[in-house]
Amino acid sequence: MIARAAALDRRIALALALGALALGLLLPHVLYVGLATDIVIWALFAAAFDLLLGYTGLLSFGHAMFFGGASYVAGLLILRAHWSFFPAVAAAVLAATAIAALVGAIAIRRQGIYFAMITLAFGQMLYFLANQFGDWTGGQDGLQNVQRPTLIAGIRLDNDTLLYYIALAAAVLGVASVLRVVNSPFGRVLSAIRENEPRATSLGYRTSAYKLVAFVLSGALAGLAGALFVIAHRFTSLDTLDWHTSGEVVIMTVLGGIGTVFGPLFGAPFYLIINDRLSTLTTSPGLVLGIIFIIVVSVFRRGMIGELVYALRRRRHVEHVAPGA
Amino acid sequence: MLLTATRLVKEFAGFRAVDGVDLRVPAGATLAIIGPNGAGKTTLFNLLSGFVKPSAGSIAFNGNDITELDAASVARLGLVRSFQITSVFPHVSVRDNVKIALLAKHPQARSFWDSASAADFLDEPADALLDKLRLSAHADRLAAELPYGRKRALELAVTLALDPLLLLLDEPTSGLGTEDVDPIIELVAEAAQGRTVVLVEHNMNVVERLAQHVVVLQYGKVICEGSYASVHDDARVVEAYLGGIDA
Ligand SMILES: Nc1ncnc2c1ncn2[C@@H]1O[C@H](COP(=O)(O)OP(=O)(O)OP(=O)(O)O)[C@@H](O)[C@H]1O
Ligand SMILES: [Mg+2]
Repeated sequence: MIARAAALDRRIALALALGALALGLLLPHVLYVGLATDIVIWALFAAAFDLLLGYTGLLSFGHAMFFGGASYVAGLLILRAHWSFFPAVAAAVLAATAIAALVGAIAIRRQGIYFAMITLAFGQMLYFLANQFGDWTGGQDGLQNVQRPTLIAGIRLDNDTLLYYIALAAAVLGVASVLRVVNSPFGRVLSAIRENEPRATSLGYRTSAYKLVAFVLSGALAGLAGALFVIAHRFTSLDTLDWHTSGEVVIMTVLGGIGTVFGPLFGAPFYLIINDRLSTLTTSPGLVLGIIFIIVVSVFRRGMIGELVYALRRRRHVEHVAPGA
Repeated sequence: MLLTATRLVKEFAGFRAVDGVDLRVPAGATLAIIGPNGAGKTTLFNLLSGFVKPSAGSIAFNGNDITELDAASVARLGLVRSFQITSVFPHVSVRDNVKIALLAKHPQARSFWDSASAADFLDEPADALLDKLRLSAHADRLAAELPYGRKRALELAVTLALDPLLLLLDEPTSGLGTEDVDPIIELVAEAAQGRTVVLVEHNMNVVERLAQHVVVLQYGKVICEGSYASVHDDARVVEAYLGGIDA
């Protein structure tokens, strides 16, 4: 039976992975390429966020610090030091990793709302610092006119469509990493900790260390998304460090389905496309988005993909029980 | 002595749930702690297993001072506890519950860049343990779906998976029907071979069959201890249980 359940889960996962990939290949043909690139970047950001929220149960309200922090690091290295794509992205990811290790070491023992508040506080602190050190960060103006870096010798990423596929490839690698981690033995331990932390402790697991690793991995991948953001937009600003950015990634993850990895891949386009359409129709897209969010979350309590996976699993269960009953 | 607790005190906002308890557990012994509801038995277990820090007193285990040690580290030294209220991983299969417990001793638990099959080598020991606890038929069900009696058995399986030096069992038979109690007694008796066990138990039949030594707790204090027979006839114990112990 578990073999069967696992096989079903594998089939669902495969179908969702192919669906997400197909969506990724289709997007630049149906949307303008800038929006398509944003979707890919935010999908990666949200999947990274889900690694933390869905698999450790920790709600961070400061993930903008990794996304925005990495965007500034990559932006500065490209703007001032003319670094090429791979080194700039790698350095930005390392910076996000370092920030996550530092903040995580302090925050990880807190639970629930305290964890959310302390991560929010650190996020705001980074925002404040970025605003203060205007000589470096451009202050309120942000980093403007960040030229596109060279990919490899001779190839500059000026072509937006080429950049889209580079971002897509990076996102695929990032999401594959998340999947690898959540399905590893370590990922199983994480799930156990989320389900019953005292029991995991009683078995000798130092649960804080496991949660810290998840936090750092999540921050690193959020940093990858942030580095892609500055390259795609040719600028970054304090908005990327704002708590509003941390909130948006929560919404995308919840819309898609917490703890599904694939959910955020669909939650991000859903959110961004509606946001894009709304901003041409109304002056207060936030309000309409809020209402849509409330409706979706009340109808699909597990998120859109979460609800789908749940329904498929249930059907399997019913099919399996019914003949014998 | 494998375990020595000295003048252990736990105060909750001025209320002494454990009030100067001395406990000596020789290696290889099976010891029972009994006492009325609220006597402080579970709190004592929480102290011994590092889940709660004592207000005063000290705990030594296997030559280490573990008074200030965190719960995970205590477990790693071989002092492992079960829970009075069944505590398993509900949305994980029964087999995976045991595998997660077995995994705790292996470095693979930390490998986040390995496929799930890196833990496959634990399938065999997990199935052996499930077989021993008569859980094989349920191996692929979610722990949450188990009937209560089987859940208690899984609680024991998860605890035994760590092959502890000292096993703390908090009411292993609580809430079980008589037909489920006997198998648990056999299992605990078997687990106690070559191992040290301390169990909290309300069922005097279980205490009589398993324990060589009985400690009676009331209002956080040890009011008497000795063999089952001597404790059973002690006037203070009968008094503590108001109405007496019916064995
Ligand atoms: N965290 C806590 N905060 C405050 N009081 C507590 C706490 N834990 C236990 N107590 C109190 O300490 C006393 C002892 O509780 P404990 O659970 O240790 O009793 P017990 O002997 O295990 O009882 P039972 O047989 O019902 O399981 C009780 O009065 C309980 O209310
Ligand atoms: Mg108790």
